[in-house]
Amino acid sequence: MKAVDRNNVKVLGAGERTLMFAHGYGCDQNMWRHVTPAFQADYKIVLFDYVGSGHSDTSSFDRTKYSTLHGYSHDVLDIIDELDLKRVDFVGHSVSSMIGALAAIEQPERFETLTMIGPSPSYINDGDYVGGYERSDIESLLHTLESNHLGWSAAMAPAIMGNPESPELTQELEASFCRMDPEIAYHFARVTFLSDNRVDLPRLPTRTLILQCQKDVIAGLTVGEYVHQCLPKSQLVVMDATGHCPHMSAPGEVIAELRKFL
Amino acid sequence: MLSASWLLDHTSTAHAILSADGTILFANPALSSLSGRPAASLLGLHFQELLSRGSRMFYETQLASILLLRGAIEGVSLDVLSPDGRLCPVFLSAVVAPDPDAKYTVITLYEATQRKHYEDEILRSRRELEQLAEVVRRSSDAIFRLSPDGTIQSWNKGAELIFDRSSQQALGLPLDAIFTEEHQHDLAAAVAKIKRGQEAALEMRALRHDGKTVEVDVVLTPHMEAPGTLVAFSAIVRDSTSGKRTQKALLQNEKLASVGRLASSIAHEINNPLEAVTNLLYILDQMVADPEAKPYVAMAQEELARVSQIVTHTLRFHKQSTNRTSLDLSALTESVFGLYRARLNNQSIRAINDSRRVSPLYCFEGELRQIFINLVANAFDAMRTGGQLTIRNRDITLQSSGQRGVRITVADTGTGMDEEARTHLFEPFFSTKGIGGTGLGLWITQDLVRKNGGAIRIRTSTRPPHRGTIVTLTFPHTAPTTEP
Repeated sequence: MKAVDRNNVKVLGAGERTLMFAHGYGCDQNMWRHVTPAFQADYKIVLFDYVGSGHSDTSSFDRTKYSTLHGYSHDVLDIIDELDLKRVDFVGHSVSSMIGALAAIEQPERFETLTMIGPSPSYINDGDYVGGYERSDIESLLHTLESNHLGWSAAMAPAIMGNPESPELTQELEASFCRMDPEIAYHFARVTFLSDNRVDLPRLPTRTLILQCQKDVIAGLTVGEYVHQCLPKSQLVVMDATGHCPHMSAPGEVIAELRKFL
Repeated sequence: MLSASWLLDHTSTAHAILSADGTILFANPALSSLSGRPAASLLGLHFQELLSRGSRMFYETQLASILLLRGAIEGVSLDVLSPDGRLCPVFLSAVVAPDPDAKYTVITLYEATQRKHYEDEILRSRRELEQLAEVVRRSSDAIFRLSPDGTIQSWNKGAELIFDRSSQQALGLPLDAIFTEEHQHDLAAAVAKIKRGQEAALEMRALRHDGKTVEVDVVLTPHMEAPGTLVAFSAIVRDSTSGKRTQKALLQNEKLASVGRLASSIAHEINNPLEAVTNLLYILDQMVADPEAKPYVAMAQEELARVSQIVTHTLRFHKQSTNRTSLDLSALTESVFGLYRARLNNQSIRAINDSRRVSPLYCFEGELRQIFINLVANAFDAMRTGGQLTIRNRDITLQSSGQRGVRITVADTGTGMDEEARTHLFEPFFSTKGIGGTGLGLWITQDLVRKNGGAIRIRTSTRPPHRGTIVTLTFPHTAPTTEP
């Protein structure tokens, strides 16, 4: 299967440079819908869903391949290859910051810049390193996930009833946002929150923008500062926006910072 | 008196209004009791702060973005954490209510402790089921489910291997399509039994997709529902080839043992009159003075000596098979040549014993002797018009294991074997020697070689100038100390 089908790749806009947006854990490419219109006129925009998220091909899921973030970063490189993109400006939210970093370490020539929104190389506290969470917190998250994806509540089960490709079914389309395959969601959560990629950071040669929110309980300010220290070619911007998804809650600020950086 | 605010104050369901960033702007008394916090302390807190850390992560990573995109969500399972550390499972529903001034989120929480218990139980049994399903999926036995009319409805990995069919190729096929035709009657009878609620066991040949067949044991089990209606049945199919092979080997061993016992008892019985005749011939030799008769007596004595030697060998064969000993292969070669010396000479067959650089082999001597005798007999029969018989014994390093061992080569310049003979040469009762052959020689030889941990390989050609047969035996050296 081609990567563009596997990862439900969508290409919009036109321009010399390519902006590739990668969603974080828990959502899909729809999370960029308030950001992409601002760049569509000047950039070619590439959107995609990780396997198990959105409208990706869930049959491509391979437990072993995706047991580390490298499995996901290889998919990013596959997409770049298939679309024959020379150099991309990669924007990754949350776990995608690290997925983008791993891809750029492997093939630095394919990456012009990297933008990390709320990155964390490791969520678990370890000695002096403050990831923000203990292992038991992650277990508790996984328990909540299991309950919501597989259990009684199943609130996160795909709610889509109609054809997601039909734009007239707006309500149904909205109901399908951020859907994830339940089993894969649980697996992706484990990879996201239990991976430790701290050693990889100093090997990243790409110019990087770190967008850090105030009061982000998932990836706090200290984590943002840690990433900044480890990356030789990085700049850290602490935004006024709060929470973990500024590109959704405060898209204007994210667009402005991104423009400035690019 | 009765109003919306009265309802909010008295309902057991917790309600709150949140600002865009999740700050609690309004909370009813039920939220206060659910979260274990005084009503006044709730205002100004972020709603996420009421949650356990896992639930908070879930809220931030998934719920917040979904709420922003979808505008509403129902029945999310979360844990509320009270300041005293008590966890209260809840279901949350939330809707974003647009107001002219700002976006507010209205949330509703239901206490769900009891339902969480049920859910944990359901999830636990689901995991157990999945583990069980995984056992079936990965089993090397074919395990599959059939509808009452015998249509295949599930297909596991073992089934794929045994029947050489993917699940796409197998699902929907009738049961009789995957077994050879000869068993159709038995199969129909078994299915009839199944319909009566009885289990059925069969020995059949599975028909593979590649056209080959495999011997299998099949067990069919019915699954009935009240009132005695067959709802499905299952089939467990096991490849019985290796089991049958073991059974055959045991049978062979048993046969060999009884042949040995029989030969030994006959030899023992012959031995007594033989001794008597030997003595009588000796006396006769002394008494005969006629120069014409004298050579006949001598010939009779010679032939009798051979009979005696055969009897002794036969006795030794049976007696020695129970224990391994250190065997000099060169001496064995000479001894076997000796047994055949006269016949080899008569047929102008040159026998060569090439036993340089060979260490003693720790083995069952009698069995090695029989192997040599069988192979030399075959070589002899293949060289009716003369030729050369070479037995070469060498120390080698076994390629398969890297172990030290010996290679024994028995080479003749006889007629060689044709394609037909090559295909069947290790089969019992297959003989090219017409009425004189039992067809057991190589079959027994192969068995004896294996019993001594060795391997046998035969190369043969019917075309000159390389006409003839070369039998190569390899045995590993096993240390005497490893014997129990």
